[in-house]
Amino acid sequence: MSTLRPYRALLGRDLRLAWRRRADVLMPLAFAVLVVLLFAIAIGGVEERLAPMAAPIIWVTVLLSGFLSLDGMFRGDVDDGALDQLLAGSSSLVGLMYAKALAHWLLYGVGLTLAAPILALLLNLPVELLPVMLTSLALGTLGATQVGLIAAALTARLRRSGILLALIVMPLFLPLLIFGSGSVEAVRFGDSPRGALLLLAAQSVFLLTLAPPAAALALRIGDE
Amino acid sequence: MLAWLEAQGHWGFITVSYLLFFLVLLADFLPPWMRERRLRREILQRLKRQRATGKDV
Amino acid sequence: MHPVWRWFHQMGSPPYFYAFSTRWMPWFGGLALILGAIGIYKGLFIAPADYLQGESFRIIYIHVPSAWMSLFIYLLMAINGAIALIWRIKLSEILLLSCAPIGAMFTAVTLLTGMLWGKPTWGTYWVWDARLTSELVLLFLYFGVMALAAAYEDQRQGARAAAVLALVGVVNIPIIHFSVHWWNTLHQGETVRVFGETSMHGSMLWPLLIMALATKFYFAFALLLRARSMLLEQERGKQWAIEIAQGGR
Repeated sequence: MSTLRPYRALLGRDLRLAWRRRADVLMPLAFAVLVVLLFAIAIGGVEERLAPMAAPIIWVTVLLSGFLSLDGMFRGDVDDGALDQLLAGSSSLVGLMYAKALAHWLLYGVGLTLAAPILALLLNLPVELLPVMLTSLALGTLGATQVGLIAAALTARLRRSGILLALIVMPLFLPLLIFGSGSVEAVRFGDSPRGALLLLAAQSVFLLTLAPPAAALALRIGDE
Repeated sequence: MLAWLEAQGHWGFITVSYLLFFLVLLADFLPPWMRERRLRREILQRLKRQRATGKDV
Repeated sequence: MHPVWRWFHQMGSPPYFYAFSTRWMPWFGGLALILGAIGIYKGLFIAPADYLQGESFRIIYIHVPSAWMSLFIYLLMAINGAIALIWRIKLSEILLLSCAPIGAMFTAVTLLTGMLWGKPTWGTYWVWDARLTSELVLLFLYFGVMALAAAYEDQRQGARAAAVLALVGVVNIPIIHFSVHWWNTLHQGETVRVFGETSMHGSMLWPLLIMALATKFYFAFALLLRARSMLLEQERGKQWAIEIAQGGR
């Protein structure tokens, strides 16, 4: 559909830029492995102690690693003036936000989810938990990207500040973390993960409807 | 210090709670109060300076 | 023009708002003090000790009203945010910015008194129950709004960005509460509850309601104080500000 062209163009551009800087995209993945390494060493590397904590550690690690990628979401666009062009253009800013979020989720949400089996291996996650782990991460990162979109849009033109971003993002990550890691814990205790996964999906869908308009509004405010 | 507090029993904790409440309230309203008084003084000072130097900012 | 609208309109004028605050602040402050004194007296000396928890439950008369205020103020902050964004009303921006530190203060009191209540009653200073966990998250929601507004050079832009965040936060608060409660029952079971029995004897309830009212009046007082100070700062060069500084009212 030709009416979707500007949004597909933005999506394509973001993905192509990411490809050119593939090393930058891999940073969060490397960070995730490092965090897991720290935990494993601190806990002592003993399987009986790692396995019960594996799922929560993986979930927190994915959220922290994804968080690292947020500062760069709009910074490149601000620096080279692309953001001003987007704001001045005739395409729907909300639509552009969806495109932006989709690019980010594909790179970092799906990316970290695909890297999760490595983390699971390092932490001795019981194999039967892996499917629900990956499902919860895929659904959860979908919502987490939206949270990140809002925070990045609110701070786009400000001086780089990780603490401010973290302060904004962490409370809003909490329901995703609770339902996400809760779904894996449910399977660990022999229950069905359905309830938790549905709540997780609901939260992500809710964020999908709330975040792009909020981000668009935030960008317009920064532009005044 | 905590051990001393715990030795005071329930009323110790109650007293500390209520005291903390008042202290935090004070910490909440004193700064803006002082700020406003200082602001008013500054406005007056600026006015005096303006008049003295003949309407120069 | 409808009188209520006219009143809102007049409020938008800084000298009018300042005069309004001068007139009402003593009343709000005075009522807060009187009601607070009555409530605290009744709470500390008139209400009977709880048969399960003993005397320490008296902390409830600070803890619960503060918890209620922490949520109420966030809601009010978000409403001001919506008004500021939709109608671009400067006063709403200032009120929003003024609400945040007061709300954060009440949240901090809730947490601190919760800890001081927990130790004599249940043996530990901190327990990850639904209410305390939610309040901790709320504290960070407040900090986020305050930090974001402060990060902007232009105060009006900062207030509007903070308004967006406050609105995002306010719709997430019920979700966060629900998810924390869900998490809590999962991990600790229904048996761990901060409040024991659900019904309260009349003489135990009255001080609570009086304190709830007292904290509201304090909030009104503190809000007017911060807002008018911010307004005076912004308008310091104007004639009305000079007159205020001279007139001393």
